Amino acid sequence: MKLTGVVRRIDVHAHAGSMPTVTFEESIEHLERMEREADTDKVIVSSARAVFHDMLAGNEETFAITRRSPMLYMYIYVDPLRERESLAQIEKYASLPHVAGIKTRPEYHGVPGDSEEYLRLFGAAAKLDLPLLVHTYSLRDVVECRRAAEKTGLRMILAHMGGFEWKPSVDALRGSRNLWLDACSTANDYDKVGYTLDVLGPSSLVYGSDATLLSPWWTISMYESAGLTDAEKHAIYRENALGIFGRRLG
Amino acid sequence: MEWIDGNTFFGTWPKRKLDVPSEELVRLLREAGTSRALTLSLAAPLLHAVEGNNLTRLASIEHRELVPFGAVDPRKYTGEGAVQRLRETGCAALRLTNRINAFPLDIAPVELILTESAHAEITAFVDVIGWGDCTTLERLAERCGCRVVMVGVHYNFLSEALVCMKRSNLLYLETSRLNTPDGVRVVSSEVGPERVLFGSGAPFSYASSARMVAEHSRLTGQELDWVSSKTVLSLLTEECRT
Repeated sequence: MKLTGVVRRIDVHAHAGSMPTVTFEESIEHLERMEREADTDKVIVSSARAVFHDMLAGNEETFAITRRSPMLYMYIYVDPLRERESLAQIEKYASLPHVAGIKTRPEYHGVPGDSEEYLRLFGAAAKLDLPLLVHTYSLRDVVECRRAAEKTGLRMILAHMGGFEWKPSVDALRGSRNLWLDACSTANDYDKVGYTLDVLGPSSLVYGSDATLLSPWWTISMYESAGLTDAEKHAIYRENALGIFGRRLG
Repeated sequence: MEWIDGNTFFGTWPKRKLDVPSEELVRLLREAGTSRALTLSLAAPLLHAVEGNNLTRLASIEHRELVPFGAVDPRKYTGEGAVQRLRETGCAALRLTNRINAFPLDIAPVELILTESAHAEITAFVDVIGWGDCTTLERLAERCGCRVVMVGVHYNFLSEALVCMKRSNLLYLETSRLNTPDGVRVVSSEVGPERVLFGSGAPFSYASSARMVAEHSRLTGQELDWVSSKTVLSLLTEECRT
């Protein structure tokens, strides 16, 4: 497939650190090279260590990495089961350079996205103008996050857009505000992007790769196969992310 | 470079609004830069294998881009030489539709079908859905002496696929769900590119996703030659290779 109308991309969903699969390369240098090859000039990463195991050590590691790289920005990982520590992590990093937002995985912690714990964390992030990237792999995850976005006013990117339940998830977001979808997921159903565009329009989507777990080209192929106009590509690959993160990607 | 897709279907899928007649599949393949594809009518898993096989053969006559799979349905199989008949009617390879029909692999009918496939010298394409499937297929392939393509290997259980492929030369890997940055290169390097073949899962999946991942996985030109077309060609019945 020939790529047309290539836009410099902003990748709102990537990882620093080791992922749970067989791979030759998962270094930061590898991530940066892969992102450059995919015409991406800004990449927001969360720490694999923080996501899977140790929030404090992972955030610290990622902050050090993003300080050294002009293209990398950081999500502060937050854990609702460690609310006090998470609030302290938000306070600690929010005003530092190359810190773009917060990240969490409700289903991993067994805590609904609209729980009291999360509402307090999201409220704190909203006050500091820190958008959220949140892992959603079911319709339930998506619906709970919509409720949380409505209650807190936090700008949220719903990573994986509900996984294999992407279609009812898209339907569940009709009329929503402050929510964007990131299509990266093993679910690459032929009509995923087209349907989302029909129901929610190009302002609802952003580009996230899930590198280094997934190849950036997996998700790029979904967008490139959807017959996007140049204006839609600009919106999805870049402008929507700039609107969400604003000065934090400056 | 020629790209041959080792995993497609055509027809109607009533569980979603998906109607892809054979000419539409050919259009999707062209758009994705794929020159040929192994394919099966969805009538085979959804209605009747024989009817589906007939429709598949007709489609392959009408469109030279389409290479016919043949299906045998374990739910109707009683051990009567169905695979040999597929071979005689010009099928390029056998397709078991265990993902669609949700039958397990470690059952007597599957073992008999794979034994028949070995005798008929026809390669079996079988879905692997989660942990354990590759191991089951390794044991079946060795027991039956049949070449088996594991369709749909995912990063979750890539390690299992690799271990099984190292233990059995009869196993091959199809790439439609191998979406990690270097998964295709890892397999190619560990067991050889001649045991890795491109497949997309179209029309259920985007026809270009697995191809773009393979193209950007830093394979050498020679490795990519195998993955894109040479491996799958080496697995087809002789009369279907050209």
